[in-house]
Amino acid sequence: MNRIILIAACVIAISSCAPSRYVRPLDEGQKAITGNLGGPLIKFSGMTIPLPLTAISLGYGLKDDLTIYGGMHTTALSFGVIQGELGVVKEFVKPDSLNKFKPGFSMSYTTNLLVDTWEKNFKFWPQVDANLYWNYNLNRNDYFYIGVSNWFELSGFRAHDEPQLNHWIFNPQAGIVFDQPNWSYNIEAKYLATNYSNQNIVVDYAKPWGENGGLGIYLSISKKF
Amino acid sequence: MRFLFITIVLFSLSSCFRLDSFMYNSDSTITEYKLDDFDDEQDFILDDSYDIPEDKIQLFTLSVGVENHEIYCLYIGNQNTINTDTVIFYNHGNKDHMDFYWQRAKLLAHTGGKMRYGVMMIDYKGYGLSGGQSSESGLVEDTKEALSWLYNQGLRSDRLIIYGFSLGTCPAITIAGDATSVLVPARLITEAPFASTDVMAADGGLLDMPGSYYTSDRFENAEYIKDVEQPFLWIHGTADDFLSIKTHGEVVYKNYDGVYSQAERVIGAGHSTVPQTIGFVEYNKLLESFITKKI
Repeated sequence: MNRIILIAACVIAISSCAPSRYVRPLDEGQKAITGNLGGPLIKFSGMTIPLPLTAISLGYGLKDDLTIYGGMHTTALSFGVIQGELGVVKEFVKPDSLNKFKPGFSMSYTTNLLVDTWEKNFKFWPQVDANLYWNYNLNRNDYFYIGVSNWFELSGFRAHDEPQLNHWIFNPQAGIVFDQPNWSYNIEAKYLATNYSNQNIVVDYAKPWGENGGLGIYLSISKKF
Repeated sequence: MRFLFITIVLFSLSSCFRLDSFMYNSDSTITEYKLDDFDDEQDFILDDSYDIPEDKIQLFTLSVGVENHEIYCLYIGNQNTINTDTVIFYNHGNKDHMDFYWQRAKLLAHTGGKMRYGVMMIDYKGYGLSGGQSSESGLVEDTKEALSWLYNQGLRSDRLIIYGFSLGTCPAITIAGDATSVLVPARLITEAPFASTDVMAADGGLLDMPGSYYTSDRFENAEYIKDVEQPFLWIHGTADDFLSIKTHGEVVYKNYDGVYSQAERVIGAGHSTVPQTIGFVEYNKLLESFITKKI
């Protein structure tokens, strides 16, 4: 059943299949284009591999503390599933520029939109993220963050009119951003679907923390201009 | 502009891939069927008491569809008495080919005693030595072709039992509910059935995602079972870690609305370990009691 597990995982592991878009907003008027690679770790043919999911996104700093963004998931697209996202991130607390231990705080809202080109089935899922972040080196713009990403399933039913029991998918996350004037690089780890069992499902996720959730690893690179 | 350009290019490239063919875990690299001599991975191996005399094993081919793909078939029993025998048609699962399922077919041939029933099994297109490519419609088409062959040998619907395992529950349930089929089984047995690819998608991603996001094969067993009227035996391991008994099997069972249903939830059994967990003797007794039950 290995192949079926891989293909199922490739496209259906959509939940939380991208890192946080912007933890710290862009400067006012600044634009950024970002590419990212990564996804949940799955077991396949005796190995543990991250799903090679890719996405690109574009962000624009409306204000110093407010950035809007949109993105497209290119792996899903190559399989005929148009997966886009539109979102906004707001910085509520700036990190202390004199004290590296005092974090900043931001929240983002994202609408995840999916439609397949085969049967035109359309779905959307709201997502709310919250992150604390620290400028751990006051001489640079790099920062470390921890936070939570929450996906919400609004549908009351799933296939065959069975009741939908999974309405809130909770994903704690941590990452580090190496921020340079024109480029930034990000690595992020997510504990995916912490609040759900990973047992008896068709996808054989790697299970570093027992019978709940899975681990996702993501790399991003951004060009700012 | 550059972003727009990239997006347009990506859109134009979208739908390049479809995952349908990856649904099938077939092995078409073999050059011959080895049956008892097959020494690769198997779910279980029966002892010598389950051996079938060589003259009661027939391997043959049938041509299927307009492209005349050759599919391989295996019949355990006496072909000359099909016109009076009861036959169990075994729709095997998604793994490799008939060699992998040979032990299961032999076990079925011991239901009610050695070769009390004839047993027929086929390799669907794309499996083993059968030609062509696998597809959901192909599973049904291949099974129907084999049933036509049985019909031509004298089998009639009142003496046909269809047993589907895992992927094989798709053609089994589809044909059991299809009144236009040349043969419609008198009784239906399913072991570890799929509910649908929608359920697979929802289980894997937790969200209510349609199966169309990754395949056009739908395996809508949970819907097709509604058309089945015949007596129905559902067997599923409670520890099935591939097709959850709760989200797949229970839904199929619940949607059945025919004349008689029987559920066997096998405590502790996984996806491929139902016969071993029940015990081979008890497993055969379970099938025999369902097949011969007066309803």
